[in-house]
Amino acid sequence: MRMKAIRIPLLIVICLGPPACSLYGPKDMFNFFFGSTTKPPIITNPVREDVRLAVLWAGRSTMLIQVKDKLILTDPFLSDFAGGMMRRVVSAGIDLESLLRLDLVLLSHAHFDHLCYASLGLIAERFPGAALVFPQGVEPFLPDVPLNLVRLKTFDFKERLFGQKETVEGVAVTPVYAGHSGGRYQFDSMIWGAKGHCGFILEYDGLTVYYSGDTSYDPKAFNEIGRNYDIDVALVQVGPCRECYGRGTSQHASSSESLELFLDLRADFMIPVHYGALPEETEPHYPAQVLKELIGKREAESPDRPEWRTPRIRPVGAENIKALSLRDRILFLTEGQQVLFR
Amino acid sequence: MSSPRNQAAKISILALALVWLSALSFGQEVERPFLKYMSWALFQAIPSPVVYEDSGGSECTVRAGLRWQIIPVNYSFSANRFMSKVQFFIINPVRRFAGSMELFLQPEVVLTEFDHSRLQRFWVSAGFRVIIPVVNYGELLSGSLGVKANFHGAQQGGAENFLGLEAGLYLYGMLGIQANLNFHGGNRFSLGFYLKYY
Repeated sequence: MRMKAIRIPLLIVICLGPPACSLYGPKDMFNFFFGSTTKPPIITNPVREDVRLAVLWAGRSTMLIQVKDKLILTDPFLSDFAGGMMRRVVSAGIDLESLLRLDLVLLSHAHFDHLCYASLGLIAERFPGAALVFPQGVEPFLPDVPLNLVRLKTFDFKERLFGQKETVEGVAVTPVYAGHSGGRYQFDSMIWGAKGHCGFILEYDGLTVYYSGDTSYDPKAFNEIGRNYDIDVALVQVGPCRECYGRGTSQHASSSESLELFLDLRADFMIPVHYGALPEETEPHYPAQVLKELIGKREAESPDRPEWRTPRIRPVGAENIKALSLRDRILFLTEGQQVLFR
Repeated sequence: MSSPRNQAAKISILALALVWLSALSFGQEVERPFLKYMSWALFQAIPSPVVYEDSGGSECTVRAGLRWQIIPVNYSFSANRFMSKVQFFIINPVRRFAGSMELFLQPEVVLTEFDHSRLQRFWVSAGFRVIIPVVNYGELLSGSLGVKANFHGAQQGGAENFLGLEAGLYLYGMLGIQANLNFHGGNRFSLGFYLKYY
């Protein structure tokens, strides 16, 4: 009886401490002790002079976005463990030492795989005073880091898809709809309904970049975002999903929904993110594999998708392709890989 | 002199007011207040298992018991500029474990009698502790040091109050261990888990 009294609260506490957007299970515990993390190749000089836009995917939702002379890091998760508990299968493919400066850090929400305190500490140490931009509702989960905290006003996304635009370090940042949850410690997120999540629209030097954050799929919302912005590059969350060919959850779009999301946005290019690092619903790279398959199917069924406008920028190597296919427009990167646009 | 029922009502109103104040200091709109406060209250009902020394004369043993963790007020040294430094009852773990000080209240019970020290089974302790972040702004690991007063009763009647020191280690702001060194011959040591959600 006494042992049971101890076991039950312990179990509750373990289940309450999820390191990512899902519960911590026995498989994660096994990986923590016996799993391994592979190191991807690291680009030693990721900042380029000769491009208009460059995106380096470090893994999960961490990207280094260079728009002309501005450097923006999204949801920095550089540690090998999400929340110290869930082991990554591939390390973050970026070295902060390779950056001489950093203008903005974007935080889409406070879950463990997006707001990593160890990474925030490294950033604050290396780039003190850099702007840390986050939606209203994330601030309760931010310690007093020596960064320039910029809180963006958001509204109830059921009523208004766009939050208040702010110009930070010369970059116009608008928080936009994301169908996800705030909070950090599972119950505050799922039961208490804590707010504090969004996607972002970044505008600088005549270019528009969209980052979805974590989101479920809402065709109405994404069509509306697409109507309001001419998006050059969309960085779209894909998975985790168990039914990646079908519908996703209230928290995450599945592979098929992420494809629809991109088409609704009418963006010129898409870079899928958020898969790969952590073994959640399925094998980590499975959502991307399904997405590739779905792109092939979509092209075979309806090869001439209408209404593509002429892109303002093109990936290096694709400058001379006259009619870009869907396959040309969705750019899969491996951890640590960078795509350059001119 | 008001009746016990009136006193209970006053205490309930005061507790509700403090929970509401806490919600304000938490700095977020409360989307689902009923669910939030009810589930929070349920979590607080989960006790932390503890073992206590029970000695008297030449006899010495340990007793299993339970402890409830209540924090009426916490002052954070690491609140960002958008957040209040002071929190009541519902304590955000980030601000707390990134460095703070607090008053705490602990109703405690042993599952069997203190046969040797002859202390009563139920008692309340109260004290003050400082929380120091160790890893990842204290979220992954933090420590605490504190002092507390144990308001005990003796089995044969009368009060038997004594002071103690407390040290703790915490993971994720929810799970930890706490050790106590008490200035009482029959109840010098206790070692327990720390379980608390917000």
